[in-house]
Amino acid sequence: MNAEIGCMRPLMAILLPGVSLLAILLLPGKHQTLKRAVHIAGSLGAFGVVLSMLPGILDGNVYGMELIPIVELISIHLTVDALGFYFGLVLTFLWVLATVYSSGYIKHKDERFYGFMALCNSFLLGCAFSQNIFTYFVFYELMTLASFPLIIHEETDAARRAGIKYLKYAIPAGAVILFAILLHFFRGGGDLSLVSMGTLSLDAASRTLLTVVFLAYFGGFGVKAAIVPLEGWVPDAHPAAPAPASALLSGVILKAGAFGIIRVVVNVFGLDLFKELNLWIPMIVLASITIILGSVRALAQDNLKRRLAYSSVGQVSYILLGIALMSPLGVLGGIMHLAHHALMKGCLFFCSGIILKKTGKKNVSEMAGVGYSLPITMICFSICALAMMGTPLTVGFISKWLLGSGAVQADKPALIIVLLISALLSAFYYLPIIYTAFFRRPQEDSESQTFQFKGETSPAMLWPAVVLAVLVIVVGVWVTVPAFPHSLASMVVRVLFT
Amino acid sequence: MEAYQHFAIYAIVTPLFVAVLIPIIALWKKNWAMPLAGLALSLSFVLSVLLVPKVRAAGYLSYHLGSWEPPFGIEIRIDFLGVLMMVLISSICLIVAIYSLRYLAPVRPKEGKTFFFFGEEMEAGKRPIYYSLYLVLAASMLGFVATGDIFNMFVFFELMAICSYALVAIPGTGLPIRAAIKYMLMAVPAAIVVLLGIGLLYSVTGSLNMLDIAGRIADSAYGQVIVVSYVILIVGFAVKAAVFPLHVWLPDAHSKAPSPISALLSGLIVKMGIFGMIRVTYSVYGAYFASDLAWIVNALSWVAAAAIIYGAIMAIRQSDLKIMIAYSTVMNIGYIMLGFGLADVTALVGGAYHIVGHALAKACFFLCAGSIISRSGYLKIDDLKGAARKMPLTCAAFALASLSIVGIPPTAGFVGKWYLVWGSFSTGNFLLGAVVIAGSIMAAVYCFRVVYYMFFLPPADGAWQQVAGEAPASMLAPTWLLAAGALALGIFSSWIVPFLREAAESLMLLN
Repeated sequence: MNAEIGCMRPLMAILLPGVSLLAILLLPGKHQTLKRAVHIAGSLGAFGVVLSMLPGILDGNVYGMELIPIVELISIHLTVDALGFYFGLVLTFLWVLATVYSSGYIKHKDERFYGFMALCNSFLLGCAFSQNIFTYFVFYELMTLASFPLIIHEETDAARRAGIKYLKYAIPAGAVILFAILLHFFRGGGDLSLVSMGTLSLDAASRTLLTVVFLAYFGGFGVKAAIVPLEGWVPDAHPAAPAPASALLSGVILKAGAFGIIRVVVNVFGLDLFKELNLWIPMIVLASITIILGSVRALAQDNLKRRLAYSSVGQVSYILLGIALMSPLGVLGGIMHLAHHALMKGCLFFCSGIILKKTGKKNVSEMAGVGYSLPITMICFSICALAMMGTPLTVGFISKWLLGSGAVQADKPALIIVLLISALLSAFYYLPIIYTAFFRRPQEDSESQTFQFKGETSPAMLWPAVVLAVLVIVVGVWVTVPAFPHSLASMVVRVLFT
Repeated sequence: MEAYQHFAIYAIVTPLFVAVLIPIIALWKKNWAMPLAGLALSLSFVLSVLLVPKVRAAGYLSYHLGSWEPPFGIEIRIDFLGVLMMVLISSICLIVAIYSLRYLAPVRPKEGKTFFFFGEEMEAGKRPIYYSLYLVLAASMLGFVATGDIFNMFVFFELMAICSYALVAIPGTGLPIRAAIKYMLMAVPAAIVVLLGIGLLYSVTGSLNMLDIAGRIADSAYGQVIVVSYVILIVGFAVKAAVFPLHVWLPDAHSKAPSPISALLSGLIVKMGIFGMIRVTYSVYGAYFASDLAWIVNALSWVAAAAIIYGAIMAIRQSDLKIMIAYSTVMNIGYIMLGFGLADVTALVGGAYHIVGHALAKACFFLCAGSIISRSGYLKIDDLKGAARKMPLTCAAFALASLSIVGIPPTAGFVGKWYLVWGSFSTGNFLLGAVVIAGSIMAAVYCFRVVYYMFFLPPADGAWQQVAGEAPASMLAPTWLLAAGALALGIFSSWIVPFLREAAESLMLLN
């Protein structure tokens, strides 16, 4: 691993959304348009700064800076390595689209929403650029608190209940992570950094202790990553939140949990120790159960966003499954799926928000004929839904292919069955939506059998969905273009397996 | 003798002197009370800050009152922890005094505007007395942490107690007076018990100077007297510190007193009890601390754990904002006690950091509660729904301070808890470490509930409609200063912890 190059850019990227937050707070109330513009500019700026590091990252450089020692021996330290850069790029990109989208979607108390969105952006970027697990934890906790107002934004009773449920899951989870960090720090050798491939070793601590540390990390991050016994908040939070917030929840906030587990497995334990302690067994088992169970429960949901939420529960575990396979292709597939799922699910939630805003329909059973009144939206939706099922020429196929090959490479071909069942089930719950939207006649009026583009009047909401749907295909076809997930994920894998 | 050596005594005597002046001047100029008090406290603050580098360089500062040599004369002996406490006391007293100005005497708007005021507005004649008592209280706390003479320490301790009864009761209505009497019923026996302990020590050593006593009891074995007098002193200070189960006076006194006084009680005065424990343990009983008395200190750490759990559960159960904050103090005293009871340098650093961090955050809580009460008259947590619509800045300060009380990084509360856990892990007490973390979750329950009510729930029908709006700047600024201080102490902890570690090490090295 190359030495870290001192650089202000990670900090700049984190602070830029904060600048837009300040502008939102300080500008007088009448400048609504200006505030929206500043909000979008802030997230765009963060994305731009992250993107500016791309050439260096592809050359194998690592950027970073130490900010401030928070307690002795531990400091808030930012580092951008390939993996962190990858997550940072995905999240800032999705955030740009979500800010554009929310300027069309959010009509009530928009300043509060924009403000907390900008905060979440900063904190999540901090997670992505953490040099040590402590820094990760700090930003992770702050992000948890800052995302609460996004979930309850609609201020309905259901939203409030969902928000409280979210905190009930997330705050104890934070304490469990803290417990893991404390054990790790005081009893596990005292190195919390995430830059080498494994800082823990059996020389410094007993097997039991290391297992406890891992399980605590896994359980703590598992709440955000929606691993099965801990996923209860996900299906409530997603339908309750406004569409841009749901897209971000599924697209990147859930991933922050998965990313934490990736960091723990790859950088804290290292694959050798991970294998030696047999920690992959609980991870594969729980990931497989989550994949199947998430898909099964998605089948039973009539509420569109709830169905999508359960789909996310299953899909995030693809990432964990890939890591737990510990084979080059599996890890590659898992890491790439992080971005792929963000693209697909972001688009699906954007589309569900458009449907809700334009037609007021929440449930799949009411959506007969929606494809005719909102044709572009539903085409984007269909592309992503097909991608979720693993249709070739889309990103979903790439993920599934790599994970399947990874399972074979890891000599666990039985897991392909899990992937196939999941693909089959997702066909069962996505195809009826497409079918209802395009091929079922709405009962009340029979005239809407032709495409009517007059419903598609909100470009701020439509364009983000279209961009994502196009990317789902483009990234799925031209897989190895630099800056696309493959180029960065394969860098990580190269370092891991050499 | 160089000039700076007089700083300490000036820092203590100036507020005392001005306290006498205020009622006299008030015969002609009633409005001068607060500016005079503010000036006196500013002077104390500046002098305390100037002392820090001096004490740090020399290790301690010794000053003989009236040039009588100790052990015969009274010695002011400021060690590193003492001078840091002096800075903390003088700064918070100053901030809260500024807050008091508009809390006690709200400005009425010009004709034509409706104005509702529900708070504890104090009649003009009482205000000079308030500031006078306030200054004596500040001076007694400063003297308490600075003195090297155990009887002098008792005198300041009593002075502090008497001023606090009077200030709790100063509204002059039923509930505050009852709370003050309850407080007295607990604290007067405690003071007598402390005096008994000092008497026991004097009877066997014939000395009242702490350093001198420490030297004398280290030479020869006094056996039971040492243990008995130690237990007596600890119990006496524990009442003042409101250590569970001796906390029963605290929720009433804290919630019924005027809010600035609640802030001082929670932020500083209960900490004086803990400081007394730390002082006698290390400065007087240093020689026995690790041997004969180890079990007592160890037992205190379990009492502390019980206090954390009990305080948290009671805080969660409350429906009255100020009583909830008061129980939160019971809980946080448990944290500080834990740092002391673990008898480990790291844990002591954690406890000391928590003294500072909690002082800032809790004082901020009470000031926020005071602003809300004085603007709206609402005391119940349920009535706080939608408070942020009328008083966004006050509520935001409350939210920021609650991050510190819960211990979310990077705030001062987190740093203190981190060192506490570190201390408990390094002494092998994993269970106590787990209690610290579990306490944080419970703190999240009671703090974030209030924040949630303030920001995310709509007001009940008709509530908050007649509320005029945000508190005046002279109340907001102190509130925000404290909240920002709690945050800054978390971010810049690496600058402060070495100081505290030095202080803790110098204390522990005395034995």
